[in-house]
Amino acid sequence: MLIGEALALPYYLLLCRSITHAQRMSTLLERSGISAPYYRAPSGLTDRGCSYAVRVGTNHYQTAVQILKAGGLPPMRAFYSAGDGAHREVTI
Amino acid sequence: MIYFDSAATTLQKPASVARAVAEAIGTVTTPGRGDHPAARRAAELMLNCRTEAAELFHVAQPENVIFTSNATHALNIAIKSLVKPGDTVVISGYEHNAVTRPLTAIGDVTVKVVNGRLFDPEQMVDGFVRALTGEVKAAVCTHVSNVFGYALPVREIASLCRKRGIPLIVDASQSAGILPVDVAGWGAAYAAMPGHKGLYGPQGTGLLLCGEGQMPGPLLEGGTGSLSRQQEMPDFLPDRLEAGTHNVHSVAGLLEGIRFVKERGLTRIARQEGELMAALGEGLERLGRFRVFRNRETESSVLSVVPLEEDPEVLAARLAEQDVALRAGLHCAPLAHMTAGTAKTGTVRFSASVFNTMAEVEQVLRLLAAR
Repeated sequence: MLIGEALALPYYLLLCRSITHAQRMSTLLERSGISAPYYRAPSGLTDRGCSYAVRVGTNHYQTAVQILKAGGLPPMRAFYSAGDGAHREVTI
Repeated sequence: MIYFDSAATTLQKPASVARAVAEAIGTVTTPGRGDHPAARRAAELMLNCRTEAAELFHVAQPENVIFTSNATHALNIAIKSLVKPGDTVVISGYEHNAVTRPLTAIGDVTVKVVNGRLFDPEQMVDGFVRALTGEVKAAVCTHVSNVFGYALPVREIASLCRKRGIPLIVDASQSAGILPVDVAGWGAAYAAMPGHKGLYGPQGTGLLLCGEGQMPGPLLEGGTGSLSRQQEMPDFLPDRLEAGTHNVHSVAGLLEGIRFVKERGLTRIARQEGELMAALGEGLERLGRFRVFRNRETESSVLSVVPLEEDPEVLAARLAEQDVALRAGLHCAPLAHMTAGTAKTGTVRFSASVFNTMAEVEQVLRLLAAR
């Protein structure tokens, strides 16, 4: 499944520095009741190659970022998508 | 076979370890490469093992648990990250070649050796007090001597190092899975350990535990599945130190070994193994034909003896013919023998695991009594 493919809903992608980082971010958010699957990041989102991203719904974005920062796992960057496949970087 | 060579490698493993390895071989690939189910299962397995190890050894976060091939690999990373040519390093007089050879290989390193008597932790602390002077760039101390089972006063030495701002590397090869290893509490820069001894994992596994704020240098460079356009190794853990495909199948076994240790409990493990070695030591002393190195006040999983009437290698070979496995010689730690005065002959070493029994101890004593 590609990110955003199953449901054409808006979402945020939180970019991770490694798969371990992605796993820990995902686990932390899921334990807080926020659905946060991780995937390999679309190639256009990083100029450094091969990265991972955690996806959260728009209604959980702000809370998710707060939880991750408080948990010592801040995302590297964040992107918004309207569900149309395009991504726009947003300030964390 | 009666197996008393667990300080080298535990032979008997929990059944869950073998099952996990067998299952992993057919179901997992490598984390951080593809994003298919087999790669995802591998990623979950690796993180589970990092997390369990971080909990057991008090490491700040799972990322600071690095998978290595063995303790030697881990020690090489730690030592070569902290020590450069021209530096001065303090080590205990009970270090293994896994410590002394990398220091020699770096070249132009002044090594101050703290030669404390066996089973005299106060003297060892006093020695470190004197040796940890301003020019010292790092200290290395084994937690438990692989030759004599002597538990060095690591907590006190760590405290000294912390107060003086000197990074400490702890070789936990003989203590992991038996005694508490407290990376955060000690404030250690690094702790290194094998997976195949007291953690009951497969050979070819080891862990480097990185203290807070450490950014070690890699021994190997290569693919990590992250930042692939960048030609320098990532500046974050664990990727920085884990180039190339992981030994995931064995990590599956190591994970189950760690779970086995946690479930059984360190106190129970140390007591059981300590009682076995104490009984063996007492029995050997009664035979009157051995110089027995043991501390009567603390438990130990390792017992070394020097036969008074027989070459250690001959004795070990004779017992091997009688289906008793142990080890004779210098145990890759000539420095420890120089410190303890056994460098000429080496020792015969007995070392226990939780799978040994008192009946085995009694059988070994009967064989030795019969000559």
